[in-house]
Amino acid sequence: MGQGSVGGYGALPQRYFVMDLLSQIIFQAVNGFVWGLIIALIALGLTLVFGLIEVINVSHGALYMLGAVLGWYMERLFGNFWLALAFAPLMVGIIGLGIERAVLRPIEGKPAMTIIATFGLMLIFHQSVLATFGGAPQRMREPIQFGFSIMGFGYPGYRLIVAAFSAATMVGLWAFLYKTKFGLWMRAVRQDREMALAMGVPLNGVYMLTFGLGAFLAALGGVLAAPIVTVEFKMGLDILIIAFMVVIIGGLGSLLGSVVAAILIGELEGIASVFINPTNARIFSLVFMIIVLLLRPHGLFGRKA
Amino acid sequence: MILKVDAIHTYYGKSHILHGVSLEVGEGEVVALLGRNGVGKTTTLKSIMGLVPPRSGSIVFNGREITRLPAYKVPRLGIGYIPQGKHIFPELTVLENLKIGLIRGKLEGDSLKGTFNYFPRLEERLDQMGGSLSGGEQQMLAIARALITNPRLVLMDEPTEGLMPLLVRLMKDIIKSIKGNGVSLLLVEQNLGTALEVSDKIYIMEKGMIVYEGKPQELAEDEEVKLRYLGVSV
Repeated sequence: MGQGSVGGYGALPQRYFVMDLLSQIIFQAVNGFVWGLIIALIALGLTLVFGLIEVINVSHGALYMLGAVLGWYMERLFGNFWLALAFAPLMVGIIGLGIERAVLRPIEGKPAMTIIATFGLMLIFHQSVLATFGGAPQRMREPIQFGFSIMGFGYPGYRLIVAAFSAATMVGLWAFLYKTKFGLWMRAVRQDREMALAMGVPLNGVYMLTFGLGAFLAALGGVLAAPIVTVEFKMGLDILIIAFMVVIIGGLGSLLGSVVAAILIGELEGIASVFINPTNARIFSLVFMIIVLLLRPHGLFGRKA
Repeated sequence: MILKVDAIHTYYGKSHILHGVSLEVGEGEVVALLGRNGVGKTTTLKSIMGLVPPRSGSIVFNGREITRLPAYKVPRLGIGYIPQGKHIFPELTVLENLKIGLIRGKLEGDSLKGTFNYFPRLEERLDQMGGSLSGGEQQMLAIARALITNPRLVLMDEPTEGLMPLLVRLMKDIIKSIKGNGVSLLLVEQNLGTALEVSDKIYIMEKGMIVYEGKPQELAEDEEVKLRYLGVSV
């Protein structure tokens, strides 16, 4: 995160002061798991979009940031975090629909162009937020204040709710993909787009909704993370890099791979940060990625193209 | 007339593939489109499906102009497409492969049953992945998937390619029984024997143009045409 976290992701308030080494390790293991689930949500959006539309979405981190910023405003406006959680991702999802229609469709089938276009979008989002929200990092209150003690360390209850919510969202995504007609269309398009078209699947509609869904997932991660990290215009940069690493380690386009890789990375960086500076813990993830790619060039769950 | 293709010109990027192809398929007719590799037979089918839309000319299906229709709407009007090779979805189950074409409503028991009368082997494998089926079963699945939507016209691209003789026999029976149900068929073939046996009318293509039109009996006796366009000498 790089905003002065006390060990791993997300600074902990002083009342959760951590005691001995064992407690620290257990704490970071739990925390790494929670973060892994948030990262998984974000990486799932990225891999869905890449797998289906073949768009390398550089603006994905900015959509995560946009979710957090909109969530921050809404929490102020309504005075209720849960309303922000319900509406901010929806708004970013709708923005995603518009992006697909207006920006990506004209350059369909040109992956290099999509990188440039989404990079441009990222800059636009950064500057817009900088101009309105300002450059100063803001904090959001945790919506529930209770914490509890496991093995002698205190842990914020909100983070466990985040973990449960992320897991539930993934189950929901699975049900959407495997139990609905639209999910069936998405899977068919991924496997053979021309044949899907010839079977009556509205390709453009599927592309649009897929990108909207990707943006929604990024923003959902953003709102969930907002009370844990600090909200600022460049908070998506670091997440973007992690999400890309997760997608590559998990195997391009593999949803299960992204979830597994996200949790592995979350645990790895969390536990490593007990022993070294959290910023340097990234080194472990990079080394892990290199080892995975040496042994399995297509990622943990990837298949040969 | 169920299908009327009139002077279509189709391009892949800059290369001009179809040079004014015209053909007609009558109600309940089986029409075969013959020709060597690369003369534009598959492109003709893809043009009709809207997958590679023609730049000029017109395609009328069932009295309706479909030339500029978005591709996904074409099958919904009642045209089934069975592409060359085994273009089933390998990571969808057999049942999902069948479901995909049904835009409205659920898979009805009747249409499923009717399909399984043709293809009993598929019924036993509903939950298997499409990609795990044998080549012949995949071909059957591709046909079942097109028929389950109750199309008025079916476009078939080389259905007997690479099948063993027993399955070629079965495929001919299937074609005849599709025709028996009043469904029209436009069949792309390399195999002259199959075309002569099942079709009511035959077109031959050469370099993106229709160069011959006739009844199977006429073609069977026309040694010169067979030699010149199909490279068959009997």
